[in-house]
Amino acid sequence: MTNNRFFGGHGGKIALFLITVYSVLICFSVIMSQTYIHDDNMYVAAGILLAEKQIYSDFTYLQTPYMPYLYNLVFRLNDYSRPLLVGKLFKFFLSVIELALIYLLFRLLSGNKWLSASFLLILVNNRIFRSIIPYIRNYDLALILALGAFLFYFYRRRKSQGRLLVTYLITGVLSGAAIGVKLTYGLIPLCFLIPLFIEYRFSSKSWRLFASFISGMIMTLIPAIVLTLRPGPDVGYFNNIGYHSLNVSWVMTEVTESSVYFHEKLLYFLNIFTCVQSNIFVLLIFIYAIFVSVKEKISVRYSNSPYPVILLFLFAGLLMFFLPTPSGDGYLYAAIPATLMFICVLHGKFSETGKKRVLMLSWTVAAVLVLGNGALDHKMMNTAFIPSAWGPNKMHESIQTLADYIPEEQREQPVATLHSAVPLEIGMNIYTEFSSGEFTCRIAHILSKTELDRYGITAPRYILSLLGADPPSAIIVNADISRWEETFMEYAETHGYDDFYTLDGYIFYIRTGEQE
Amino acid sequence: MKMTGFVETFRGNRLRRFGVTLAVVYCVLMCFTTVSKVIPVRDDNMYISSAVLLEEYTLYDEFAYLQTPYMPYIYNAMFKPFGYGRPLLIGKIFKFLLAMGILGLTYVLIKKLSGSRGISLAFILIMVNNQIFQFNILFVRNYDLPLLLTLGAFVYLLSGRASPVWSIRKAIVTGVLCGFCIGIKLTYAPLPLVLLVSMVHENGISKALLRYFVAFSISMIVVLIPAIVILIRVGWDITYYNNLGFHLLNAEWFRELAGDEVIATNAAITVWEKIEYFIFVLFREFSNALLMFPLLFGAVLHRKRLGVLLHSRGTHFSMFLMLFFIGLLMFFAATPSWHWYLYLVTFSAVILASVICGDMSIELKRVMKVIIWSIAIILICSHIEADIKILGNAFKPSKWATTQVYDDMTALKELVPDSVSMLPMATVHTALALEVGMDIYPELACGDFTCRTSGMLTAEQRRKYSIIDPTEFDSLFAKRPPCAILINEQPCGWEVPLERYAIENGFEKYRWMDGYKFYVAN
Repeated sequence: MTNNRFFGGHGGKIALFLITVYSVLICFSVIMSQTYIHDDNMYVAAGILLAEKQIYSDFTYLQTPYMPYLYNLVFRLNDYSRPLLVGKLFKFFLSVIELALIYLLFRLLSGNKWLSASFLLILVNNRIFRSIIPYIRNYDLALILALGAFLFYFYRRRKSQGRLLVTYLITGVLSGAAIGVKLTYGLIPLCFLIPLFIEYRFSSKSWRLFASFISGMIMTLIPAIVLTLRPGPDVGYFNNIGYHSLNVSWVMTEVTESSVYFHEKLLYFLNIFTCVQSNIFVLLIFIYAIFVSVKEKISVRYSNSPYPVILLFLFAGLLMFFLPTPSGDGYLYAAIPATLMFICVLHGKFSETGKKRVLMLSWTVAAVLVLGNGALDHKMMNTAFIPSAWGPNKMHESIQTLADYIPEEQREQPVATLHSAVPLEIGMNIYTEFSSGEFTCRIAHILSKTELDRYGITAPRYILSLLGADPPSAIIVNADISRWEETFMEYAETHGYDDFYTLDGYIFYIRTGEQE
Repeated sequence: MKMTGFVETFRGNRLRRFGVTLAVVYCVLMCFTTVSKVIPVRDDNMYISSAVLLEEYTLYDEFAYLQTPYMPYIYNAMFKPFGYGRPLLIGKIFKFLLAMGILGLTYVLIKKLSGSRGISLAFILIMVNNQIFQFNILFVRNYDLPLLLTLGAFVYLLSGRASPVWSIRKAIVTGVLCGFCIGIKLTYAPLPLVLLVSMVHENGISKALLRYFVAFSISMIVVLIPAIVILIRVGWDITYYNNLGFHLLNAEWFRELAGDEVIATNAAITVWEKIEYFIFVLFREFSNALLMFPLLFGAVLHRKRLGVLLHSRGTHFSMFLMLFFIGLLMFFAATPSWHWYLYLVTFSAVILASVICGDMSIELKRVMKVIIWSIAIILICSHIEADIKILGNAFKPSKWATTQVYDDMTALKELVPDSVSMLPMATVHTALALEVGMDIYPELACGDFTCRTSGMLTAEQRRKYSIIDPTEFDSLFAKRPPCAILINEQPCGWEVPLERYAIENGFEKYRWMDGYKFYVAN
């Protein structure tokens, strides 16, 4: 294909340009067509609360601390107004960077721009990719930093062997930053360190490079460590690990269908890769690449080769799915590009015939995916050009109309809700105790009052007293009310709040009359 | 050394045989689960009713049947030896046998065309896991038999010597099979074109072509004579309504309701909607996308030879390409288009892929084998959890959906007082009544199909076509009252008058299995 006169000349540039435009448009439409899910609450709330409060000590944030600081910076640009819209635009920016890094990595590893372009199309049409990019969370940035580390590492290693210390230092910095954004990326340093010791054994050189990597990593992690330990180790532990262990027990006792045990995770994993069209095709290319490797007896070099690094990245991506409990398909967010990168590495070693066939296979897959999704994508793309049809705009309009009913004198009072992104979208205050949405409510009953106060959260049994001390200007609950929201409803009904239904499936309780 | 080689070959053969046996058992079991799955939908009603009614009534003349006439006679022949008892169960067992036949013929055809047992077995596994195949074999309809006959025609045509393919005997047999296909389902009318393409391709414009063409046409017409007689006997008007008129009215009904959200999301009516739906079904639903994939990848891999293949006589590529296009025509010509109309497209895609494989070098064929087997294994894995559960029920006749229908209907039948038990049951779900030997109204033989569109006809036309409008139920029941009324839990438009009649006439209401209400005369 690369020899083709069309693809070799201007035609190739036009084709690449069109693929870029298509990928960018798909990202924008996917992001803007979605409103929000409960995960967004914690990130949006943390990003805004940081303007006045301290992370962990004043409000919970159940991840490593860097992401809210970045969201805070972004929200500040628009004076903390319309955080959902701003957050989504920022997510679009992140997804474009992510695609660019992935394309560069594909190209660097395979040495073939057409294989990289087809893989880009496959990724853009992947269901897991599409299910993660629309929401304001910490998945993308962590992956971007890890990809940045890989790109920098491979680029430097290919260019020169001379400044290895700097290479490992910067790679360590980027890996540390990824961990500071999402703790599961703690596996990423192993992708660099294990190959380091394979390549240089336990020589003094390897220890020097190891020290350089670790110093870079610690350098970027120091602020995170300070932030985590400042409110006390117990608070830091709860937000980063303790909560997640409690969540596991909640899932095991309360959620009937979840992947908690290893065999359940394995079945779920099998299901993801055999029942979702876009994942099946990634698996198909992977199987074929393995077949070609075996047939062509590809020998793998472990030293100064991307092979062990990418193989470990693939393992790390899979562990990111298998380690957390319960597992969710979104946890394979890193494993999908890692699989494609692994194929790129193998592709680089194939014979010309092998390369050509993998290329044909990947383009056929890309065509089927673009076509298959195209039946729905063209409708989604149409709405991308109509700002009034964007998810955050529709939501803003709907809740702003109701918020106008809140009497002027009550507007400074916080809104009681587990959907903290909703009031924050229209510039209203929230209770910091509910900043993590339903996450902390799930497990709050397991904790004592002292622990709840220490972690800055509350349990449904204390909600009435909390609201009694500082009455809310409004209460927002899901129309399909969850059990943690029942106390909110009880409070609203006994304190003369009127209920209004929004189009997005929420009930807005507003105190339009006199308080009883 | 020789001994080791022998042992390895023996082991290899044993392993291969074991694998093949396992695959065959898997296919048989998967097809058998159709007997245990799903209660009847509206399509089953028309086919079962017409087959049972044929015993006492005349087709088209005394009850409507909205297809060409052979299928009810075939079902009638199936039901008759069992005294018309349990027609749904017998119909489903017949469908199981048809499904096995289709897979068997597909295997033979693919093996012949691809020259590889492995490829044909993998394709059969892909087919058995395909959504459209699984859906179509579920219902007692007229989709499978014409496909089986079509495949039979190709298998027979390609049997024996590789060249020349055509002989007088083959022209006669394929003509007969084509005739039967058209007599069962009118959308197979363009099928002879496929065989004509092959005939012309092999013989050019010659005397031989004329001989084969005449033999083919005469045999086809001979097979169609009974159908023609049946249609001529009832007159042009009734023939037109049952074979074409109703379908045009049905399209009109869907067009009128296209604004209704429920209908609009399910039915593809305009050309653009059909294209969109076609792409969505074939490339978005994973079992269909994976079925189409070998054809697409094979075409890309073998792209330089495609032109040669098209003109080559021995490979029959042009003939099967024509079959593929006719499959597309069947989908696009119908309004609304539904995914099960792509039945022929899926089979012809697999056949075309095997033709391409057959023309490949050993090395390329190995590449295709890896891809096709990977797809087959992925598909088996994707269904395995659900399949194990379904298989558990497949061996317990008491858990079969048809058995449950029979048990429930028998219990309901016992609620009907003896004094009225000879009267028919008023329902558009006629297959349910017939399953326990209750009478039905021939006017409702087509279930809700004719009720939908009856309002578009005059009373005179309805009388002529032996159908009824829901507004006329009262006069029908005045002549012959029902012993019971069976309707949906959420009655659709034409069932509302049935429920009203039941309430006004003091019928006793019973709840039945999910989704239905049963009223019994006192």
